Amino acid sequence: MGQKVNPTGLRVGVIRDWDAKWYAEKADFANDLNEDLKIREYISKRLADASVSRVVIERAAKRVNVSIHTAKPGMVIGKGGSEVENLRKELNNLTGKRVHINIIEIKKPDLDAKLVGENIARQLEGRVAFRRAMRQSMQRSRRAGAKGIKTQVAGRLNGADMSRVEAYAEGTVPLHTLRADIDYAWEEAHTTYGSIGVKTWIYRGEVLPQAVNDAQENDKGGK
Amino acid sequence: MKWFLKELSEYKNKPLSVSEDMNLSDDIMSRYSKYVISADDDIHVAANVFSENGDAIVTARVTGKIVVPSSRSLTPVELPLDFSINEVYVETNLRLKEREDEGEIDFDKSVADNIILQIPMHILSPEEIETGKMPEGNDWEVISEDDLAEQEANDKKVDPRLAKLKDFFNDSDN
Repeated sequence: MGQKVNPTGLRVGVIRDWDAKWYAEKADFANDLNEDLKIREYISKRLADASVSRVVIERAAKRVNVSIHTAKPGMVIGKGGSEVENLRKELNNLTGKRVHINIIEIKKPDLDAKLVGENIARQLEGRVAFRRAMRQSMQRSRRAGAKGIKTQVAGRLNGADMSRVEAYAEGTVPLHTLRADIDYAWEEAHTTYGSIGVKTWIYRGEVLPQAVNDAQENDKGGK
Repeated sequence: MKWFLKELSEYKNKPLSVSEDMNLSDDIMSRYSKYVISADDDIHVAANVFSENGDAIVTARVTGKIVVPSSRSLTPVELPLDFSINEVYVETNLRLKEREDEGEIDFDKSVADNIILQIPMHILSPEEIETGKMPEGNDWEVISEDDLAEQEANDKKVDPRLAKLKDFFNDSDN
């Protein structure tokens, strides 16, 4: 069988940025990393229904900046901002540092693999037929401007006795092309028949990093 | 709306036309209550059903409305529904096994499924679209992706005091 690498990990440092942006001396590194993991775990549990795609953590001295990328900021904020105030207090207690929360509203959630996968998973939990859920999500992503999308579900589909895997694709998803901006996510739907895994790949077009552009410009200069 | 495949075999040349209001509110709320505030009691469905080689071809138009929370502020937003469904129900061995001796098409479920699928991941109230105002509070704020990109671009700008360093290597080369 072909060996597969996570498309996100393969592209970090090439066309994708890191989710943690900080520097620490050797003595602090382990503590800060552990703190990051705790923050991420806490947010993923607390905001499980809030369509959170990414959590970016930045640090400066005794301050931690947490940027939550979400399609539903309302779910993060709560009525009158009550939820986010509590979240901030909890994160302050968890880290012992001053936490500032940025909530970034995702403009096109249909182009975000995690959100699309999560949406399919929630629909499967709502007993929607899996083909309908996959087809609709793929159509929406294509309409939103995706150049290609692939979705795969695995498990007891529609409550069948025997589990199986079904995948559908539209357009192109060039996984071997590093400059191809491919977003990938894996989600799980917890149905009455058991868990169903949902994998999503979305190809959003090519990205030429600034460094590559600069290098090309220098080459043109004849140096 | 439920039909047996056997009874549909009569409608080969002329379709079975159905137009009625369906009450799917309880079904939708029980399946998707986290993301729906309320659903119309009377969702109108106009459907034509053909039979072809033992398969059933259903085309339907669904109209009505549901109320969902705004993704930015959780205020109720009315989501009008007006969409069509085109589905083919195929009598394969697998399907026979699933339905056993029933051979029945449950179109109610299909309509409810399609209503759930119509709910977008991102929806705003008319006021939010108009004003474009983002909520903010003590040590937290909501910003758009465009604003974030702008902020990042500003952060990347070189400190003007260091701008002359750009020419450092050029001078030393000469």
